[in-house]
Amino acid sequence: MVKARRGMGSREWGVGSGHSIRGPHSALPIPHSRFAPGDAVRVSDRAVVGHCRTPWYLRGKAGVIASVHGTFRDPETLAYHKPGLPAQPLYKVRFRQRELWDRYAGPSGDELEVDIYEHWLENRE
Amino acid sequence: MHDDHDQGHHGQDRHAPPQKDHDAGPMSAYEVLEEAVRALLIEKGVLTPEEIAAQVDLMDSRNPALGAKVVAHAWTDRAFKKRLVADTRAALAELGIDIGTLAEFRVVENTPEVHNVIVCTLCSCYPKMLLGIPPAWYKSLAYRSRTVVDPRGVLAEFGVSIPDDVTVRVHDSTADLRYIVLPMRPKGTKGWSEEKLAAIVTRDCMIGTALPRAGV
Repeated sequence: MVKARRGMGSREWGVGSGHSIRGPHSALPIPHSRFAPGDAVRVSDRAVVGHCRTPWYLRGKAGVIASVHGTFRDPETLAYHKPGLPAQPLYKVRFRQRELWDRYAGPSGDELEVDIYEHWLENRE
Repeated sequence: MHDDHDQGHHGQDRHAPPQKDHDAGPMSAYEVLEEAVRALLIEKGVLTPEEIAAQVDLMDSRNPALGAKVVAHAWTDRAFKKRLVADTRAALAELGIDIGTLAEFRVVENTPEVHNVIVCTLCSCYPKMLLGIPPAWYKSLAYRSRTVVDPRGVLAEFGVSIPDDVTVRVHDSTADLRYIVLPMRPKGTKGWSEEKLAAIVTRDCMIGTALPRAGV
């Protein structure tokens, strides 16, 4: 127990001194990302048990990569006091509101943008 | 106390204050958990009570006036605005604002073509280091669920009407980024000082549920 605490000690996790060191939610300098802005993607329609930052209402929905935010630790394991590795590229994905909601009342140009980690995105032809 | 004090409403505690004390009644499971974890962190020497108090003070020092100052500066300095949108963290540091390392920040700019609105459907992610503690409604299930499904309906309830030829772009901040809206500088503010401009930039303007007005 004591060893484990040392392994992921307070400094690494930003506890107590979160404003002077790199916290768990800061971008990591891992350059490779599978998608580029403009790429057509689909949100994976799979179930997950536990903590997950991909909203249910987007499962299986088609969108387009708007931008690449960088690489961040995986919240699905980070939430359980693991290091959140391998880190995941994080994208801003743009959706058309009318493709998300059958009865969307607004104009066809309305959009929704959501930050989604790479392991939740699939190629769309 | 007056004699009529005893003639309280039947079934009600006549001594009950008009507003419930925030710590009245049994603690919720999360309140118990917070107290227990806090006590353990102190006991094990991970944190001191002074550090906890300092962090609470830091959060309390952050409020919408800070965000308004940033917006007003962006309105008066075009080059700063560009830097603010391109690299929010670095631009805020120019103004002496440290947003910490717990999240990255992005500024989304309203234009004649796009109106931005911020929500967090999963919980209540909010740019606290710039705007302070979020309003209660921001955390409500109604705002969080309705803003993604019917943003124009929600905006209308805030008194904001966006023309149909303007895109409403909702940002659901689900991950490591916090968003703040850079509203458009309203007409009738030419020559205003940054201080005067900052005064019309309300918290809701930076969430996207209000528009700044020169007349307010």
